[in-house]
Amino acid sequence: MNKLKGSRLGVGERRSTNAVLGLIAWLAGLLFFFPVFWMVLSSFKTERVANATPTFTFTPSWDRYKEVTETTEGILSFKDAMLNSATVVLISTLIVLLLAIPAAYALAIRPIPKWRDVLFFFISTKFLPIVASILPIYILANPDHLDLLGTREVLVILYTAMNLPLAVWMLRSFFMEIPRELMEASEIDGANLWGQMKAIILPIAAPGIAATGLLCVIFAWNEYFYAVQLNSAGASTVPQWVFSNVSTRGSFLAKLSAASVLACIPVVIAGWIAQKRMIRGLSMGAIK
Amino acid sequence: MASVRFDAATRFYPGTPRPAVNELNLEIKDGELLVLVGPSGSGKSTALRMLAGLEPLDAGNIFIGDRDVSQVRPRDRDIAMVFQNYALYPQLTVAENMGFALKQKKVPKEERIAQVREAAKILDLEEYLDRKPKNLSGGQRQRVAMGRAIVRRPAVYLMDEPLSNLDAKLRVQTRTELAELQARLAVTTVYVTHDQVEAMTMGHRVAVLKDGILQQCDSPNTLYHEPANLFVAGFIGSPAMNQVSMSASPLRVGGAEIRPDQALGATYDAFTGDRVVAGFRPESLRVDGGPIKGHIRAIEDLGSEVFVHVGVDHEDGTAALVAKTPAPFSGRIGDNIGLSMAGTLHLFEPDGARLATVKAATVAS
Repeated sequence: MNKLKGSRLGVGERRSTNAVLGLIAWLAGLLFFFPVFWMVLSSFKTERVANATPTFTFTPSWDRYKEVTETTEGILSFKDAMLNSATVVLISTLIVLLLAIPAAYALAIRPIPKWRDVLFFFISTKFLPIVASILPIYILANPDHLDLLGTREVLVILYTAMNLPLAVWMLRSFFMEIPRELMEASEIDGANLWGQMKAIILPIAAPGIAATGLLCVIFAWNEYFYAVQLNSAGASTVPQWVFSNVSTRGSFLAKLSAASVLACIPVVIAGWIAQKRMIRGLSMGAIK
Repeated sequence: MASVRFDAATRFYPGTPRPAVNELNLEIKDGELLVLVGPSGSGKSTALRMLAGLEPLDAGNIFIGDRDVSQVRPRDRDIAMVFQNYALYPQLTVAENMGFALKQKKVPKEERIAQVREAAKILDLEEYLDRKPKNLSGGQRQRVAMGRAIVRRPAVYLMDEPLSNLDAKLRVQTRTELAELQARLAVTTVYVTHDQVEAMTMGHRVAVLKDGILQQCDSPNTLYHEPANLFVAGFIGSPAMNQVSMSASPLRVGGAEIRPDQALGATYDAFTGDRVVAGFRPESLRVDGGPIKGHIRAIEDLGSEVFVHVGVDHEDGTAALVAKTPAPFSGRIGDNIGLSMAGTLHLFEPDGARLATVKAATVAS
């Protein structure tokens, strides 16, 4: 047997150039990761250490986490904010998927004439800056009209509207990837529309649906502007709770870091769950 | 089981100038294996998809048995189809793939399993029943696709180039197996291919299509020996039939006269043009120093036989002829050689229709 080792270099590539490029990539990666890392680090510091000259050596403590999760009468608690966010995010994402899947199916698999215009119309609703839409929404949600100010319902409606165009666009491109023959085969095999949806389209597009759902969750979870304008009391969400830890009496950097870390955790978990589905190949072995 | 009938079936793709399938009239007998063959764009796949219900008809009708299925959905037509790329459901196991149609029909589970097992046994797939399609080889996937069709026991099998994704050796082997299986199950089968060898070896009858129009539908033997027109003559047979344009009388190629052994018949006698196209197969040409003089352009040595490509000075230009001769062959490219023609001669009108088929031979001039 020969003792050759397989080369990792592509044709015409040089080891030194690759090393430099690799180094740059690592630096860029660390540059992006550093603020997150610093936030996590700060959340374990005392306020005094956090506000002093930046340091890596300190005695870590959970105290900031205890402080931010404490419930004080009359102030938005961590638990309530989490519950509000979870309700609003999950319900709006569910509605988005329920509406977007049939829309994307129609646009991808049985396109009508002028389907391009339909798609463009969907995305055109995102052209308007959010600030420009707040006044009419505020008037509509006023007690004189729909009386939705300060409720979870108004956020569910707005987050659904906000994410729907994006979800239709994304799901359409995932549905386009499903081999045509699979649907024809299932049609010949006797499946009706629902059977085809259940047995072929949804399982094969599952990674795409997971990715779309994750994006909707992230966008809705992080949304701040609508939440703060329409929901100053009662049904406030996590971003508002994070901001409530900013005080005029001074900068509580460590406390704010702890709150931010807590706000990130659910999204990270959602991403981790969705990723398991997403990495599965889209339609491996379906054709040829 | 049932017969199939295309009755002036026509399909226009929106925005195209001519129909993809133009007034197709075709009857397929119960239990017959009919092959639709033609070059790409000939409408063979469209015709099959029309029968499957995947393409609507713009005119005409299609019958399965006595039932007009023109407006019936694919799932209600009692057909099974094998796709070129197999179209196996990737997230289902082999057994689930094969049982999918039965499940849709609400066949009880035990019965379903029994039927899948039986089909798997026929196709030698029993040990793969729990695998996913991505863990199978190309040949196994092809068999699963077949299995999905035979489990159903439908009235008609539709096969759209089912062997074209297999390598050459496996293709020849599977071709034989498929023909045997079809004969055993005796289910009416419509088989689409662009490969004329596949068509000739498998089909009970072969329908040749070109530009959406049926050219001829006959047994392989008849197609080969009595092609209806120039297109069929050139399409069926490999290498293709020699075709030389010449004056209608006398018939001369490369300075040699071809003399028919028998009368040319009424059709030819009624023909008034002064040019015809003569067609004769490579096996009708002999490399024997005969009167057709030319030079060797290329030699294809297949081991058992040799195809000699010859350029012949014909009228004001050069005619390219192919002669089939037994191996070994000692000539070399550029050599001057003489050929003689003896065998079946087809005469066609310049626009393609056949005028006569007779025995003929060259005579030294």
